[in-house]
Amino acid sequence: MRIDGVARFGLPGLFVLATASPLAGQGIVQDLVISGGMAGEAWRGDFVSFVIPQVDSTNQAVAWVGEWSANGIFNLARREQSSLDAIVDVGFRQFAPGGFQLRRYSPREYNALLTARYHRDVADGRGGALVAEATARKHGIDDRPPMPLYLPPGYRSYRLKAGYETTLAGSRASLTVTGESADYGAPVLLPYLDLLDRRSAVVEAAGTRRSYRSPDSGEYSEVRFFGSYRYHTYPRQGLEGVFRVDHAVGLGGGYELSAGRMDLGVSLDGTRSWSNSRRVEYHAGRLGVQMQLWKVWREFGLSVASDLAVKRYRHQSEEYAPVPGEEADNGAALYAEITRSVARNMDAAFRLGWQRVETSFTGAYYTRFGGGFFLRVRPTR
Amino acid sequence: MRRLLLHTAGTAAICLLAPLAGLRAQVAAVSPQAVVESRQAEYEEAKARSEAARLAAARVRDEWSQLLEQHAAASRAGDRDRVRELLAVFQERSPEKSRLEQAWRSSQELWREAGQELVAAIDDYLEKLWPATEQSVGAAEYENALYNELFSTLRRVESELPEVPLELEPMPEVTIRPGDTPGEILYKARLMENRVRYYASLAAELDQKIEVLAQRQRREQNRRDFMTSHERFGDGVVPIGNERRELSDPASAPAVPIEVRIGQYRELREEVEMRMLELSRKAEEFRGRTGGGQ
Repeated sequence: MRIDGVARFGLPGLFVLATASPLAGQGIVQDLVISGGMAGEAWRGDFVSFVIPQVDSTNQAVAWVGEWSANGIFNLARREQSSLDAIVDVGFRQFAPGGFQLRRYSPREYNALLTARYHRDVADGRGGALVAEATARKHGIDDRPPMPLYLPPGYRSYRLKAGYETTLAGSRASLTVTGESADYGAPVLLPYLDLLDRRSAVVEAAGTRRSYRSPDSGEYSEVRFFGSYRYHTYPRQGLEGVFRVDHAVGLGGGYELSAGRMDLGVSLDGTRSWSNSRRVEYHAGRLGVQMQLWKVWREFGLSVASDLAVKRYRHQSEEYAPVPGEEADNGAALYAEITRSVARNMDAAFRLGWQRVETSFTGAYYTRFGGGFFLRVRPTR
Repeated sequence: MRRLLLHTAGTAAICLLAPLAGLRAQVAAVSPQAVVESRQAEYEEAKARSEAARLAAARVRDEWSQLLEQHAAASRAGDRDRVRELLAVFQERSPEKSRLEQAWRSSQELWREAGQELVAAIDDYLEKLWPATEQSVGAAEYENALYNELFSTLRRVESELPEVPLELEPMPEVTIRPGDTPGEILYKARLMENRVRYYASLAAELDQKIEVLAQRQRREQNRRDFMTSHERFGDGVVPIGNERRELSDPASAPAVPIEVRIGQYRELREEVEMRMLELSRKAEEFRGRTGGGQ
């Protein structure tokens, strides 16, 4: 798969230039972290994805993975009432898989993200705050392997977001509008990938109430409710000039707690989706839990994130008719990471991850399990 | 709602009737809300005055810079008449410049004081409100709303207040004069040693501040690293559809990022360290000149 030249060299180049710039010494670099590590992963299952035409007779695969990444936050402008930040994230991952019958694959993943974020207080912050954000992302993959080693396809996406937040009766209220375009840029031999191209518009309204446990401790609990409307078009999914258009309404809530050495977040949301194609209409629900424990034992910290997602089509068919890119009905994931500072500007992390994805109709599934060791260096710390 | 109306009516009645009875000052002393309101008005006024003083000082400083440039150009060109003329202008405007800069510094000091008084008043009010709000999430709606509003004001004021200058007073130049007696030299050495002790305590205080901020920074960074690392390559994106990207809160970012504050404290710490070394060396040298007397 072709890797876009701009994403491959342009954004990392910009990143290097930004960090090497003399401005780095003037406080423009808010945070910069470079990380590298190795992981071992195993996949198992008989899941079939429309957009991975490569096939192999195996149901099991393993891989060693080497990873490099860099992430930085740069304060481009900071005034009393406004700020402009840039967030840059680049990463490279090389897989050395084993277990396939036909040939040895050598997948390489690249990722580049650039976000510019503008924040402005309205009327000294008493009138609320405005946020505008522009994001460009490129995810590329070379030599994508067959299932069950599922790696997301390459794409480029652009997102614009504008939001306003204010305080109403002691609670924060916000309204956010987002527009996004994702292009999977399918090469000639893999035309199926174009089916995933998507244009989206999302409007979300949220209300958040935060209660501080005491005025100066920084400990708080927070309850958040939100509702959203999402509009998606798939310009490559359709017949005779009629393309798939989805409308979805979502409702959800979340709870956050920061107390002592623990940060906890729980969120739950549900979606109902309509479409001009009956077979893709669905109900869906998602539960997410995140927890961070600091100094859980000596200097060790523990972070955990888990996600459970369930989808049910509203019109069940007698025949199995999977939707491109949406072949699964249920998904669950659990990530855990133990971290420890090993030097003034270096942290070590041991990460474990587990994931299971399945279809309700045929029972097809894949699981992914792995663990790795990473070092993170902060040159500016 | 009923409590809100009663509270508002009560406060309004007190504010209207108290001046008639000459009791307003006493009422303000007992009503935390009235204290907050009065301190807030004083704070806004002090802030506006400081801003006006800053603009006036900036104007004079700009003119001064232009004069300096003209003086340098005239000197380079060897135009002695123009240099003399400009020196006279410097002499004439110097008192005005000093006065405006001093006025700005004083107004900043008053602004900081007004801010600290407002913060203290809000703290006091919050403390009185706290028992009502901590009982449960469903505590009295009015107290909760008031608590959150006061807390927002507190954060705003704290972020607006001019930073206490993170710089040290100029270090006095201590030298041995030709006529100094050994006793006077020893006295000077002791003065410097006292100063070293003061710097040592200041360094310890700065270390503590840096440590607290660094801990907070690490906590935030660990959290961000964890989330970024498993989102970077889309490992959580599975072929299920219904991808719901978390829409970020337009939540208020701190006016001065934690990284910048740590950097400022570290720079100050380095300067303190340098002064300690220099003064210790000099004090030792002075003692040596007196024959190591106590």
